[in-house]
Amino acid sequence: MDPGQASAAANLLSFLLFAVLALVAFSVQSVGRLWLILLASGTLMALVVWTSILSEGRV
Amino acid sequence: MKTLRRAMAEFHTWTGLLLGWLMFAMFTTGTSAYFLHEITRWMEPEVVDVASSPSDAANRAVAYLERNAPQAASWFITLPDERRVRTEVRWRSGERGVPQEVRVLDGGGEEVGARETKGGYFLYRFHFDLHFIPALWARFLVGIAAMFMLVSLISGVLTHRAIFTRFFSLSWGKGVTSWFDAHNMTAVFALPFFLMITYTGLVTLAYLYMPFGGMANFTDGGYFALAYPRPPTTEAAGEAASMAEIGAMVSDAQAIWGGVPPETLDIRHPGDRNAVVHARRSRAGSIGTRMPTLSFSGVTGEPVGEVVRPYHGPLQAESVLVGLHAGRFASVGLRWLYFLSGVLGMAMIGTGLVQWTARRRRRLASDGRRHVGFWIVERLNVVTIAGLGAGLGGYFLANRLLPLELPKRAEWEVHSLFIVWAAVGVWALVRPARRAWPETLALASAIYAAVPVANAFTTDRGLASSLASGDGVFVAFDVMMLLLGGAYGVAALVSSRSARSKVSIRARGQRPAAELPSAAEAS
Repeated sequence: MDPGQASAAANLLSFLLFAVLALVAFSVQSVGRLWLILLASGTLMALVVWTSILSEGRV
Repeated sequence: MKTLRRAMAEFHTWTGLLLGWLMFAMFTTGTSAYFLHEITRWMEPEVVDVASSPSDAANRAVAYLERNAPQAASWFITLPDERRVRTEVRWRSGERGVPQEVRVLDGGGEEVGARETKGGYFLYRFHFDLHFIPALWARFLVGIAAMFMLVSLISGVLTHRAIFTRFFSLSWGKGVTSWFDAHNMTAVFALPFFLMITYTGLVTLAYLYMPFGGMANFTDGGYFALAYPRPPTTEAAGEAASMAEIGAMVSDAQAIWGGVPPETLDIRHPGDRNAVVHARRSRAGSIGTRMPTLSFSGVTGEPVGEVVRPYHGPLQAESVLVGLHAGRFASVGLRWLYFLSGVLGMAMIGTGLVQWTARRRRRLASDGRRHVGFWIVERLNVVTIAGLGAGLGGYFLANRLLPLELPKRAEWEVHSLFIVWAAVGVWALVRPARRAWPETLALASAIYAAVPVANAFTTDRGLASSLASGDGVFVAFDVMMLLLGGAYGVAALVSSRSARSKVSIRARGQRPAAELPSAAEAS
C-alpha cells in the first residue's frame, strides 16, 4: 500500500483500537497482566517501526 | 459477563460524569454550527441578499480590491453561495504575520458597514478550540473527551442490557427512573448519529491525536504534502500587467467541475506579470472535503495547472468521514436532522448528568452530612446546562444591544456570553440547588425571549417584517429563539414544581416519591 494511504488507514483504525483497549483496560481482572501485555506488545511494535526507520523505510 | 457489565457501568458513569460537562458544551456549540452561516446572517443584519452569480461576484470583488488594495501582495475572496449572501475579501499588504484586512461586500460588490461580530463562526470554533486557553490545549482536551465519549457510548450499550426494550417504556415523574429512561431514550434514538459524530470528530483532528502512522512512514511534513497538496508557489516578476477578467476564470472552473463553482479565490501578486489565481472548488454537493484547486494565469486567464487531492482509498475515506462530521454537503432537511440529532445528544448528556445527582441524592438522603463532591456536581450541572444556554442567549442579545461603534465589539459579544455564564455560575453557588435550577432556567428563558424583541427594536428586520418579506433565515432564527425561550420556561416551571413538591413532602416528614426506588429499578 502507498505510504500515505497506509498512514491514513492507520489513523482511522487507531481510534477503534483505542476504544477496544480502553474497554479491555476497565474490564480485566488483573491490571498487572494488562500492563505486561501492553508493554510487551508496545515494545514489539516499536522495535518493528524502529527497524523500518533504520532501514530507511520512511519517505 | 456480569463482571464485564459492572466494570462497564462504572466506566460509563465516571467518564460520563468527569467529561460530561465539556461534552455538553461541545455538543451544544457544535450543534449550532450546522447553521453557522445562517447565524452569521442574522448577526449581520446590515448585509442584505443581493442575487449575484459567482462570476459577477468575483468581478465585483476584484474591482473593489483594485480600488482599495492595489499594492497588496495577495487577495483572498470567499464567494457567496446558497447559504452565504456576502462576499468576503481579504488582503495582506506586508509579510506573513501581518494581520489581514477584511471587508464584507454585498452581492452588488458594495462594501457593507456590517457590525463587528464573530457570528456563528465563534460557536463553530468554540466546539473544538474552546476559549481563554491555547487552541492546542483545547484540542487535546476536546480529543480526550471525544475518545472517552466513544468508549462511553459502547460501554453504555454493554451496560444497559435492556437499553432497546426500555426505549419503549418511558416513565414520567418517577425521579431517578425517569431520568434514566430519558437518558436511555435519547441515547437509543440517535445512537448511530452519536457513534458517527464522535468517531468522525476524532478523525477531523486525527493527525494531532494519532500522528504515529504518518511519523513512521514520512519525514517532517511528508504526510501533509501528500494528503493536502498545495499549488506551487510563484515569485512576483516585478513588472506591472493588467489582470484578465476573473469572472471568466470562475466560469471556466465551473465548467471544468461540472457546474460546481469555486468557493474561494486566492490571487497571488495581483497586477504583476506573474499573477496567479488559485480557485478552490466549492464543497457543495460533495460529502468529501478534499477539493481540487485550479490555477490560472492572472494575466492571460488560461488554466496553468490543477492540484487534485487523493480521491481513493483511506485518504478519501478520511475526507468523507470529515465531511460527514461537518455536514456541509447537507441540504436544508438533512441539516435540520443533524441539528435535531445534536439536540438529542445534548439531552442525552444532560439527562445523564442529572441522573447521577438524582441517584446520589437518594443514597445520601439518610446520611445527613454535606458531601462536597455531590455539591460540586450538582452546581456544575446547573452551570453547564442552564448557564451555557443562558450564555448563548446572551451572545445573541449582545449582538443587538451593544453599541455599533464600541471598540472591539466582536470580542465584547463573546465576553457577554461568558459574563452571563459566569453570573449563572455565581448564582448556582450561592443558592440551594432546588432553587437555582428554576431560577437559572427562567433567566435563560427570559434572555431567549428577549432576543427577537431586541431584534425588532434595533433593526428593521424584526419577525413581522421578515415574515412580510419572506426572509426565511431571519424568521427561522427568531422563531427558534422563541422556541428555546419556551422550552427553558417549561423546564423552569417543571423544576420549580418538583422542588416545591419535595419541600412540602419533606415538611410532612415523608420521603419524596421521586427518591423511592421504582418497581423497574427494584427488579
